[in-house]
Amino acid sequence: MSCFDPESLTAFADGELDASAVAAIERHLHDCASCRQFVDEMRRLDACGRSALRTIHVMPHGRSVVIPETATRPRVLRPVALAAAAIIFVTVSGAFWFVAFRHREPRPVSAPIQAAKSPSATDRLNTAQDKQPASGDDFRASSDETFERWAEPYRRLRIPLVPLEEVANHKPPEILPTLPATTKPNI
Amino acid sequence: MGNLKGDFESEAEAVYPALVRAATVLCWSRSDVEDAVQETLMSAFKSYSSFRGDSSFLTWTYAILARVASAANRQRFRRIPADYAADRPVQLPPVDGTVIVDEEARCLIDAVRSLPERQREMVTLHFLQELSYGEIAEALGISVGTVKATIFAAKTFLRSALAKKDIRKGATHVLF
Repeated sequence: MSCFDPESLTAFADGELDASAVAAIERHLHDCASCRQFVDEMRRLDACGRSALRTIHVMPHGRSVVIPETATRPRVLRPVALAAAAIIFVTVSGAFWFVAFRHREPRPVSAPIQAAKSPSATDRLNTAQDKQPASGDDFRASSDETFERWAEPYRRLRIPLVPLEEVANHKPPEILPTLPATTKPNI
Repeated sequence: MGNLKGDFESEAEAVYPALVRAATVLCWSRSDVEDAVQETLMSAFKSYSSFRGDSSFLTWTYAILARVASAANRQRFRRIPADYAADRPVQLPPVDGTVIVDEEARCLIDAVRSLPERQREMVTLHFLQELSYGEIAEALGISVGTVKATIFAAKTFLRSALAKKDIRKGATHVLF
C-alpha cells in the first residue's frame, strides 16, 4: 500500500480528518514505520510548541490591563461634543465682536474734512446766500481747533509762533553800526 | 458602560499572559510586546460591544494582536537599509534570551519567528490554543484549505529547522 502524503499525515496528527480517512491512515500506520515516525514527529512538534510558549516569561504587573476613562465614552458622543464646542466658540466670538464694534464711535476725522462733508458746508460752498450765516462760525471754530492742535507741540517747546504777516514785514535789526562818512586821512 | 468595562477587564486579565506570550513570538522586539498588547486591548475594548462570542475571547483578541503586531513590524522593516534587506528574506530577529531561558524552547520560538508572517501567525495560534483548522480559519478570516496548507508548510519548515539545530531525542519537550 502506498504511503499517504505528508499534508494528510499532518492533518491526521492534528485530528483534522474525518472518521473514514482516520481509519484508513491508522491501518496504514500499523504497517508503515516511516509514516508512523512522521506522525509521531508532528505530534511532538505540537507538544514542543505548546511547552515553548508556556516557558515565555511574562513580567508581573500590579494591574495588567488598564483601560483609561476616556476610552469608556461612547464614540457617538465625540462628533456631538465637537459640534457643540464649535457652536459655543462661534457664539462667544460673535458676541465679542458685536460688543466691540457695534457701539464703537465713528473713526475721528479732521475738523476741516468733517466740515466739508457736512451738508451745510456743501450748501455754503455752492450757494451764495449761505456765505454769511452761522455755519461759517462752525468752520472757523473747527479751523481754530485744528490750528491749536498743530501749534500745541511748538508751544510746549516754547517756540514762538509768529503770524505770517509779521514775518513778511520783519526787518532784521541793524547789527552793524552805521559808519560815518569816510574822510581822507590827513597824512 | 461601567458593567461592560468590568466584564472586559476581567476577561482581559485572564487572557493577558497568553497575549504577552503570543506577542513575544509575533513582535519584533521585547520593547514592542507591551505596547502591542496594550494597543490590542484598547482596540478590543472599543469594539467589545460588537463581540458576539462566536469564538473565544482569546482567539478574538489574538486576531487583533496579529494585525497590531504586523503593522508594528512593517514600521520596523522600513528602517532596515534597502541594500541590507535586498538579498535576504525579512524575518524577525532572535528572541531576547532573558524572556525565554530554556535554550531548546528558545530555538523553537526563533524558528517560528523566522517563518513568513502568515505562517507565523497561524502556527502561534495553533500552539497557543490547540484550535482546529476551522476555528483558526474563522479567527483569521481565511479558508480552511489555506489554513491546512499553511500549517503544513510551517510545520515542515520547523521540523527541518530544528533538525539542523541538532535538537535530538531524549528530552520530554524536544524530541527530534
